[in-house]
Amino acid sequence: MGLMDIVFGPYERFGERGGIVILVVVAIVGAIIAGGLTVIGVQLLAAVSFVIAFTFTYGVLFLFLYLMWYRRPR
Amino acid sequence: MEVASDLGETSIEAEIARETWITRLGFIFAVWGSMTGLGNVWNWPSKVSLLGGGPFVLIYLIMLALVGIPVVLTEFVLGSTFRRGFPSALKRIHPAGEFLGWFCMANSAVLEAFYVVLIGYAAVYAGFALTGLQLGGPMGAAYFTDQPEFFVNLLMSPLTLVGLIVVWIVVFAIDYFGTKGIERSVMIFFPLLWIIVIGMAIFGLTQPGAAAGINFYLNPQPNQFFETKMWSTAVSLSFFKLSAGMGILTAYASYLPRKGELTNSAVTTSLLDTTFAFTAGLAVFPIAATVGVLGDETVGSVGFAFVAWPGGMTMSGGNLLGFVFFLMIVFLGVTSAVSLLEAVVTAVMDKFGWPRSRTVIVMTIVMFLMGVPFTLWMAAPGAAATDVTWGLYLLDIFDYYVENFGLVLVTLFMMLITGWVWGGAKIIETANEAGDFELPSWYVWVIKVIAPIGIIAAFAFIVLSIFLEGLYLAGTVLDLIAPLVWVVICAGAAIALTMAKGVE
Repeated sequence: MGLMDIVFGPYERFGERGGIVILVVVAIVGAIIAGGLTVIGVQLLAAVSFVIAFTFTYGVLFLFLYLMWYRRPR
Repeated sequence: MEVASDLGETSIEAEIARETWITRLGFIFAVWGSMTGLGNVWNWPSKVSLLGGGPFVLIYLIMLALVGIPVVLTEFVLGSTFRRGFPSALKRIHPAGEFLGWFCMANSAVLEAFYVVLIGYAAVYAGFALTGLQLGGPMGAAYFTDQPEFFVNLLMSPLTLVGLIVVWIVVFAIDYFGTKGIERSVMIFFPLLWIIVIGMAIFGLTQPGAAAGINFYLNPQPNQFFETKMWSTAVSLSFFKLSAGMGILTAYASYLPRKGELTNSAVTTSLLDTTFAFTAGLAVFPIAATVGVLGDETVGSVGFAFVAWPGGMTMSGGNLLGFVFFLMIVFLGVTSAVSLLEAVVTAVMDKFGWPRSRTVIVMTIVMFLMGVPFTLWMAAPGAAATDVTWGLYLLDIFDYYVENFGLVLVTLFMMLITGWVWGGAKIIETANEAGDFELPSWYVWVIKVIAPIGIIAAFAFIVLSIFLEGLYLAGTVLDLIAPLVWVVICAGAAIALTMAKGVE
């Protein structure tokens, strides 16, 4: 679990809601990447679509992985 | 398990000796490895591109929560509660359940037989891409980038059989050591596959075709939301992609320790699978656009991977990129093939009390021999234009019945038996016993009603498409014989194994 400690440790202060914070962070990261994609010529709607897909795959995945890490036996 | 069975000890002692996953991550990675297969790389991303981009992903995830995850959770609870493979677990709910379980195992064995052949194709491609050798054949000498000549040469050569043997050796070597072998292998494959797919996505996004690829992949298409095809695809993909109806999830969960976590494991593994497929789309489409094969009519099919994609690898470093791509396909396929073998092995060990070593050897030989006809390299002159050889023709036709009928019907009846005969409340209760989070009581109705309705809807669309487009008909007498052979294999094996005397 070493890698998960590094990734999720900073969000432990938020308790169980840390997963929601991570979801928001992932959405922001997705928006930044989407911004970069528009620069190389990706259409705006496709970029918005990217943010939705990125957030609801990586974001929700990390939310539940955080929950797994948070509820681990200590 | 092996020791207990050899000594003829009681089932209680055998249960005590039952092997278990060493870590929770090992179980999750193994289930992810089973769910994530060849279709993640080209089928799921292509569905996203055709059916609405990001908003389709959102709808797919809703269907995942309503249909896919309840199915996964139900199989997990079955395995975890009874600590038995699929047939024995269903038998404990209702005696008729054993027949369904063995029908499922036979269907999975047929699936495994031709699935390993496809992985064998990818293994041969990886070898030729790496070495740069030519493959001579009826179409003349061809590099792996010379398409479709190379693919036809491969199909019409015994190399398909060599690929089958090589992949079976790897699958056997992993499964021989049981959960330990599977866990150790996925601990290597999991990070490696993520490194490969993310690396390819970053590479793809830095290529000249990145914008065209992403536009093709993710541009929303609002008109699709009024099409029944979009909704039916979202429903059917949500459980097709999750190894449902194969007995794998039950077998894997049967090796969990008592009170092992199930709820979050079901959600996390499903999301890992979806996220990998999404990332694969980010890797495949920009590269396909760069090498000029994006508009190929085979996008989303096996032909895209084995003809269009390698045909575009003529760019500088194309051989290396092709090698990495096919290596990824092989790794993805092997983790799924191991899980299919393990589902059958677990069922046989539980029924007959055989030791693992003997069961894995016997089942490997049986399934390997079942796979040999799918490698037949002789020309099939009467078949469809795309089915060049008898092997590919048989593969296509069996794939059609195994997936569209076998998997869907097994999943549906499993949900009905567990939800209505055993009780949906028991599933929720068991899942909540050690869950990372608690499922609400109304989720019982998702398991008992909504998920089965989703599966019935998916099956209804399959039947509807048969009326509209007809059955899989390529123009030979095998069109009629193959489905009969499939039914006889599955039903015959199910009857024989249900009636056979076991140790329980």
